[in-house]
Parts: sequence; C-alpha cells; structure tokens
Amino acid sequence: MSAPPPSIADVPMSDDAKLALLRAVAAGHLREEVVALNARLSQFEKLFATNQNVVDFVATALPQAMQQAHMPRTRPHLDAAMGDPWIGAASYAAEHKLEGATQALSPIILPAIGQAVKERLAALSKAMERASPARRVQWKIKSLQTGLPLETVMEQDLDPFRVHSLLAVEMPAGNLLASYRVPEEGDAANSDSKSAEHAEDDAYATAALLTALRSFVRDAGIGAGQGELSSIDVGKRTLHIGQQGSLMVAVEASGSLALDLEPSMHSELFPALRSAKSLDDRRAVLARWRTGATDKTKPKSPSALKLILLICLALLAGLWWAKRAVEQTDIARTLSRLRSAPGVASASYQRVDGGWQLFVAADPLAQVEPIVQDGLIPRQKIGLLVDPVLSLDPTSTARALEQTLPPPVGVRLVVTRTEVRVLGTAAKEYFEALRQHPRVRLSNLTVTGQTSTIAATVTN
Amino acid sequence: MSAAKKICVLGMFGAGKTSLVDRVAFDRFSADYKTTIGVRPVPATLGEGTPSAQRVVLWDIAGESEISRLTRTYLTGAHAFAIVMDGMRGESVEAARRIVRDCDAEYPHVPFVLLLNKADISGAWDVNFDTAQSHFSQNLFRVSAKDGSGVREAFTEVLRAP
Repeated sequence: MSAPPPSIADVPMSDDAKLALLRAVAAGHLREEVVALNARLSQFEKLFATNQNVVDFVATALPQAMQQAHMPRTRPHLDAAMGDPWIGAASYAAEHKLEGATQALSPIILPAIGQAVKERLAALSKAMERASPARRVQWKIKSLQTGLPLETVMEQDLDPFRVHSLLAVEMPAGNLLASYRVPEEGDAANSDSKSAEHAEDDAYATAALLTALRSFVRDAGIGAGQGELSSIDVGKRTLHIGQQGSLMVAVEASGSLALDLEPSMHSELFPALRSAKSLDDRRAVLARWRTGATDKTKPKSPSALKLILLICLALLAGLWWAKRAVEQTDIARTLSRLRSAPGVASASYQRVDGGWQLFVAADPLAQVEPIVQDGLIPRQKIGLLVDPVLSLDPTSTARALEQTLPPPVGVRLVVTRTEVRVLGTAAKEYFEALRQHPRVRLSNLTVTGQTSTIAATVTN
Repeated sequence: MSAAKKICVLGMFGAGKTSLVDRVAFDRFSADYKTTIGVRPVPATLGEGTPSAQRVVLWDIAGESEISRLTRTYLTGAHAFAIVMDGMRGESVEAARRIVRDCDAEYPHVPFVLLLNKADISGAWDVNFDTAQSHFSQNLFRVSAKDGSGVREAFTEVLRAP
C-alpha cells in the first residue's frame, strides 16, 4: 500500500491544538505515545491490506463482544475502552472500505490525541497554578536533577504509578493460577464474601478474555515486537503483560510508569511463581512483587525535613529578594532627590558588593551629604564620589555670594537667572565686589540696588 | 475449593449456548437472542454450597458447525467440553457430530458432554432423542435453558469424568 504517511497539516484541528501537540511532542513527554501510534498505524495498514476478515472482526467483534459480555458487574473502564479511538477508526475504515487504512485512521486518532494533549497541558497548567511554591520548586529541582521535562516530573508526582491487581495465568489455556487485588478505598465497607467473590469472578473473566485477545492478536500478527500483545489500555488503567513459557502475568496499573516492569517480572516474579506450591503461595508472591514494583516506580516524595528546608530556603530567598527590592527603591529615591537638588549637575549609582556606590557631579556648596544620609539605607553601605563642578544656578550662586561676600546688615540678596538684586542700601564697593565675583561674571548677571552715598539706582 | 476449571461450550449458532451458560452462572433466562462473537468467558460455581463445589470458567464460544482455527486456540487447556444441540433443528445434531469428531481427533483426553436443548418444548422437536443418542457414545442430556431442567446436572457430570 502506498498511502502517504499522515501529516499533521492535513488533520482537521485548530492551529492552537496543533501547536500544543507539536510543543508536547517537542517537549518529549509525548514522544513515546507518538512512536507507539505510528507503530500501531503501520500494524493496521499491514493488517487491513492483507485480511479483510480481520478488518471485519476488529471493527465489529471486539466492541460487540464486550457489549454482549453483559457480565453482572461490567467495569466502567471496560465500557470506556470501547470508545478507544482505534476501535472507532477501524469501524470507519471497514464501513467505508478504504484502501488506505492509515489515511482513514489518522484524521480520527490524531485529533483525539491532540485533544488529549490539550486537556493534559491544561490540567498541568492548572496544577502548577494551584501548587504551593515549595512544591513548584521541588518539581523544578527534580526536573533539573533528572533531566526530565517539567511536565513529566509533574505527571509522575500528580499521577503516581499504582498497581491495582495482578493475575498469573496459565497459557495458552487462559486458566487463572492466582490473582491478587490491592485493597482500595471503600473496600473496607464492602469486605463481605460476595464482594470477594465478585472480584474473583472479575479475575477469572479478565484472565480468559486476555488470553482470547492475546491469541487473536498473535494469530492476526498485530502485536508489538514478536507478535505478542504487551499491554492493553483499559480506560485510565493499563494491563501490562509479560509471559515466560506457559506463565503469563498481567499487571493492572494506573499512573505514569517510571520503570520497565518486564526485567523485574523475568528475574524475580516468574521464578518465584514457578516455585510456589499452592494458590495461597502464588498469591503471596504476587503481593510481594507488587509492593517491590510499586516502591521502585513511585517517585520519591521528599521527607518532612527536606520539605521544611525547602520552605526555609524559599522564605530566605523571598526575604533577600524583598530587602533588595526595598534598597533599590530607596537608592532610586535618593538619586531622584539629588538630581533635583540645587548645585547637582548629575547623579548615578552602581551596585557593589554589600552596598551601593553613588557618583555625583555637584557644586562644592551643594547639599549632597544630607540627602544621602536621609535615605533608608545605612550610610556605611553607600559610597559617595563627588566630582566638583561650578554650578551657575541661582541658588548656588546666592549661596556662594552669601558665603564669600556676606551682605551688610539690613541688606538681602535675591538672585535670579538674569540678575542679582541687592535689597537694602549697600556701599558702592560692595556692588563692585559683587560684579567682580566669578559666578556673577560667568553667568553674566546684572547687579541692581541702592548705594549708600548715591540715592540712585545703580546698574551695571 | 480447588482452582477453577475451564469448560468450553460449543455448538451450532442459535443452539442456546449463551442461554445455558447464563442459566448455570446466573440462574436466569432471556428470550432475547444475541449472537456471540468471538468468546465470552463467564465464571460460575457448580455444586454451590456442597463439599464438592467447583469453580469453573465457562467459555461461551461463538456458534460454529465445526471447529475453526480461531476457535481451536480457545479450546487449548480445556478441562471439558459441553456440546450443545437444538432439539428443534436436526442440522444442529449434524454440526455436533462434526464438532465431536474434531474434538476427538485433537483433544482425545478431554471429556465432553452433549446437551440437547429446549427440553421444555420437546413435543415439538425435530430431533428424536433416542436417534440422537445412537449417534454418540458419550453422555447425552435433555436440558432446557428456559426452565433450567437438567442443565446443572449435565455440567456437573462432565467434570466427574476421569
């Protein structure tokens, strides 16, 4: 069959959904799913191309068989499994007699994955928003330590791997050798013998159905690897299947699987099951192995001490950050006051080890020090470098004139941008001295006022 | 109670296999006819409440007039076979003869029992019980999924076989 590989561009999805899907794939945590999907698509393609009977069987037999099983306690997740996209896709392909099964499957499966990805990302985003700062920090640290994407770390933490039940089955007969069901919430309330019997019935039926499915998959050649079914998704749970000789073990689990169970099954579980003599022994073996497998796969939660340490670190970091922010605001305020102060030409700052360094270009008569001392930051944490400049602003000029040429008693000086006004009566020599003052000359200011000997306005 | 035993229920389509399995497992009967596709494993207990109680898993296999390749995989490891015929249809006896022949050839050591269903309306049968019995050397039971007569006895009998 020469159908082109499915392209995401051809799939009827919104651009946002496509983008989310691509991001998720790029982030890595969906890569395995996509690889598995491609493998499944190619299996279907091969299968559909070679055997129309199998198409009909897949399309109709499995869902109907499940529906018609009408077992007394059909599990909700068995019903959910019937809604699996691949069942729908197979039905669609069979109904429309499509030659390119891949083309038929991709528009159905990829949007389903896209939707799942969108929902998962939204859920993770919500979880991140609701998580405590300490937990967020914990996820980020673990992501850095393990090199796993943050989303994966969050999923493992939020959705830890859990084993719900184990079945040991004699193959190919499908006879249940032993089963172990992990007690769950609510079991205590339903711990009567009827419930136990129902659970046992489920185990017998599951073992037989699994055997039938496995036989079918092997005969049809659609299994992964060497034509064997290695796992089945059943609603939110997955049956992980391992086989060694005539012994098959099915592990019903949920959550993110952080460890490949297969090696542990082969090295520990199968030999132990073979050496077990009775039904009870085998059940005990299953229970022990389940505990070990769960311990190996569950993400380690931080100890209380570690958590406290993390919280303290977060608090310290918060305090340090807050203090730094306060100092930054204060130094900016000091700088602003300096820049607007009379006689200051420019001001800037630099952060230095343990404090601040101010660089000020100011008139020697400018009031710089009082402004620096007036801030919240301790004075010893501020270095001050003043570059002296001659300021010609009226305030500095007035200050300089009053210091170097103190006005006579009863006389007051008013300096503006254009003149020095002498209020009161002064000697002519005083006027002359004012006119010769460097700041007056450099500013080209006019000196006006009354002299003591000449009752007339003197202007230069 | 010992480990559950596997009993495969075979026979022509529409012979009443699913109804008989439901009678054994749930003690119920439904007149609604549903075709079984593939296989339907149903756990049950024979001789419930007695010291000889035995857990079984009844493999209700889709109706066929002879054993197909797919069905053969379901039969592997069976402890017993129950082959069902419909007293209203003579061709179901012919189908049962072919199934017995196949089972004898491939699973010579697995015991089986023959069940002639719809005993509640035996007056209207196409099949003569004595003639049917002459075809088979094994136990033949007259049973009714509708009223339950003879059903449990037949399934219990097959497990007694050595």
